[in-house]
Amino acid sequence: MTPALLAGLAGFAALGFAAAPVAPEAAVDPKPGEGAEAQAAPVPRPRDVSYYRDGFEQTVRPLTRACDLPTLIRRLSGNPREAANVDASDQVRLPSTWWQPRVGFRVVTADDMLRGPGPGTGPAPGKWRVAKAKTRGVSAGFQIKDAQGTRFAIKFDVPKYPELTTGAEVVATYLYWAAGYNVPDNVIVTFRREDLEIAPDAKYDDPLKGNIPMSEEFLDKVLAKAARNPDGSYRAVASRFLRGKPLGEFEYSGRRKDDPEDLIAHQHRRELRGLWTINSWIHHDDCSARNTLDMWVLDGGRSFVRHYLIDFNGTLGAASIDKHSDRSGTEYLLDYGVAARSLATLGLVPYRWEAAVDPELPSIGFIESRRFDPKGWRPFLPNPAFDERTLRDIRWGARIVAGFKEELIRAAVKQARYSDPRAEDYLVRVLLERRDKIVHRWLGATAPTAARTDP
Amino acid sequence: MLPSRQTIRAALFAVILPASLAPGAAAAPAPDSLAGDPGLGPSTAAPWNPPSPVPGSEPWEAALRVPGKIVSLPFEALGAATEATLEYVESSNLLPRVEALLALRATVGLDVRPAGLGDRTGFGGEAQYNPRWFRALVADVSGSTAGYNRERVRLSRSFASVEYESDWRPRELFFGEGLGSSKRSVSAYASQVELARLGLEYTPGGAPASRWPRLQARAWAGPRDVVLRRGRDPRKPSITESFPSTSAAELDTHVEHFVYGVRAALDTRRGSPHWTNGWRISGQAERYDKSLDWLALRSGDAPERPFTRYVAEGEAGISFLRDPRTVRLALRVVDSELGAGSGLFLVPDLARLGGREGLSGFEPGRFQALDSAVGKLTYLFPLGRYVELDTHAEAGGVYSRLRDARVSSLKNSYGVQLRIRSLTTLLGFVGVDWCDEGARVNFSLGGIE
Repeated sequence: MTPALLAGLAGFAALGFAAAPVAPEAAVDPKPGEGAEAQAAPVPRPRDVSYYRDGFEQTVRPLTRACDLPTLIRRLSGNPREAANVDASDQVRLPSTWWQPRVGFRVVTADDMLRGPGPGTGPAPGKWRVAKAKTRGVSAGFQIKDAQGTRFAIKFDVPKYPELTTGAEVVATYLYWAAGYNVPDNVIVTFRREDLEIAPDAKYDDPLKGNIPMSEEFLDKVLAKAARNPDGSYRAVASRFLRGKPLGEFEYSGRRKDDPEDLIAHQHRRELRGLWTINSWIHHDDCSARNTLDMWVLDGGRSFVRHYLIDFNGTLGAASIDKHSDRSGTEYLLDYGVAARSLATLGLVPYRWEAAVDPELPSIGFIESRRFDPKGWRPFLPNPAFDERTLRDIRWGARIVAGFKEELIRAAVKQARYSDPRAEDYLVRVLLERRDKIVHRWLGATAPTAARTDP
Repeated sequence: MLPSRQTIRAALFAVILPASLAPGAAAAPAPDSLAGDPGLGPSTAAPWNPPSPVPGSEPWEAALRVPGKIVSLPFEALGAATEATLEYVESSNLLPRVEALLALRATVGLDVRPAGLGDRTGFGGEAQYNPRWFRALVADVSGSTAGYNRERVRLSRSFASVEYESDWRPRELFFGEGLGSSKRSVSAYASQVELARLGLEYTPGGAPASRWPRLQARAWAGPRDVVLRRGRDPRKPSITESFPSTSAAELDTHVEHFVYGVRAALDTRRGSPHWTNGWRISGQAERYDKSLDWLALRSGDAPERPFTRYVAEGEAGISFLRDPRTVRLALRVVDSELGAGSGLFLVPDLARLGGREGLSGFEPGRFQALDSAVGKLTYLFPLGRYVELDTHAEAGGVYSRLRDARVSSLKNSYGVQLRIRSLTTLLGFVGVDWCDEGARVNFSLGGIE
């Protein structure tokens, strides 16, 4: 078996996903004594969603769904099942541990947004102690403690696409926060090799030798996979560890039954169904369960599960260690509808994406607006909550997208610190144009949106 | 008259609406959405929840799904098994381990991979040893569940090489000679080929595989010994039973030739994941001459019949659109000229069609004669990101003299292959080829183009 074949098989077995996320292994919230009731609350059991299993399940699910009688009856009768957590004015019932009304519902300034996910300061000045390296997945990374003992996950770009993944991760972080979702505090940082030291107990998981102590040589190998700035320093995303106890991913269907506050099957939650519209705007096509995280937090005097979206390295033009493929957003990993159409036409009818133009900006990757289809956008894998979306869910998401003014978008894009000014301008323009297409398609030409108030 | 779609919708709606009002889902009074909103930060208050859990399916939906669940139990079991396997692969870190092991190949020099022994050889594997301390040496051993095995040792330096090969093929098929042979006359034979050769190869610039265009010229010479044995296929009669007159003189008789030949090839194909544009052309002449006593592997048991074989191949393809739709045309002609004399010309030396050698819908070796000609027209188009379809039609025939070839005599075969691809390479395929004698399912993991 050739290495190329093996690599291909490995990639295919992983269903072509972007790298597995660096799990934010947060410790239990250190703030003690916020009430006996909080301390006594039962902690749901942590779980780990298998990436491969989820990929297989979501790939097969469209087939079973196509044969599902109730779904067919609902479709024929024009009676879709609406989201279960909306009120009479069709808005998400609050409070929610999933989502908070921000853009589209309240006034959010650029300052609000930049302060939202966290301090946004990155690691404190001083040496970084490397505590653990990321060996799974395709992208390089490790975990550090800064001089004040705060823990961060550090993630890099690949040399072929400097600034691509890190830029996308940070921009998407702010946009998702402003859209109302819980996200980690991700910022761009720059450091040098000499800023790193290996913690005495630092280990990494070697595929053949198991968990072994980390060496300087190993660290150099990890850094060799990372893009460097012209001055030899490294650019990375520092992702601050979330406070609380990680409980693993949430799934886009079913419930976490050991969480007494999780009473609505996730596919019937408005915040998750409507996320489709926001994902289509930000082009987050790797929105599987693996890029989510439930945290057991102690906050406001009570312990509860807060639901996060994490790992945005598959957003905008980035696909982890690569740029998005030209066809991303137009078809699933295995898209039976596209296959059937191709078979029927012998492939002679061009796909919509085949006319899309690549901006040829390495730090942007592939995202565009001309061929963007706000109705037909699809993530890499089918998503159970998105499959249940109704017009009302989509319009709810469109209302949020419509609320993003250029000022807000530009402020988020600026956080990527692109060295090429064309990159910033291009990305802002594409996001504005995609926003306008979404607004026009789902809210109509008369919708009162930020789109019409932008200069 | 059938009811209209609107009528059906209305009727279904009337039935479903009452049932779909799940208790609890909308039972609570509707507060203002933003009431009690603490601000822009995440809420710490207990979330709104219905009085009772909202399941994924409503009762009537769950009830309707019961028959389907029962019918699909076997698939559910298959799915569960697949999921369990995938979870194991992921949790045991299997792929990174295999990858790490493969990375060790370069240092250890040992490689294990699927064998390429040909059609109908069963599942096979190959172990190759290319020691780090002596890169010029490559030794490999292949074996398969159908009893095929092959051993090769090759020593190369710069443009020159010396190699030895022994190839045991126990279940080869023979249907008789010519296009008129009958499918019912199938028989099996075994062959043992042993050869040693000195080779010279010229590739401009010591061409790596990525160089374009690729030009290659080769010349070789060395002894070859062949012996025909009784077939080992338990489901097919041996050649000794079906073709006693053909096999009587040849069976268990070592026939040795001194073989020398030249081959030149030019390849301008390029593109990925399948090659999309360009052409390739090659010509080969190989002389199977009388054996040289001083260079013989064995002393032949019977006099050999000298012959010369010419092989000409060409293929060209063009593509259109961004995800390439590709049209290809390939031709292959084999012409053998028997030398004078009454020595033996063995069945394994006949030109063959069927299986991967051309006319894929027919059994491997279905047509055999001195000469053959086959053409293949292929159209490849994408079915999605990681899947493409290869549709092809072949026409060809075997002849005792190539000039006897007639369009009207050609046999036809058609096929489709579902090919799995990554963005840069082809990973495998499963396909079916059919002809007027039936259909054959085939598959491959790697090694497609």
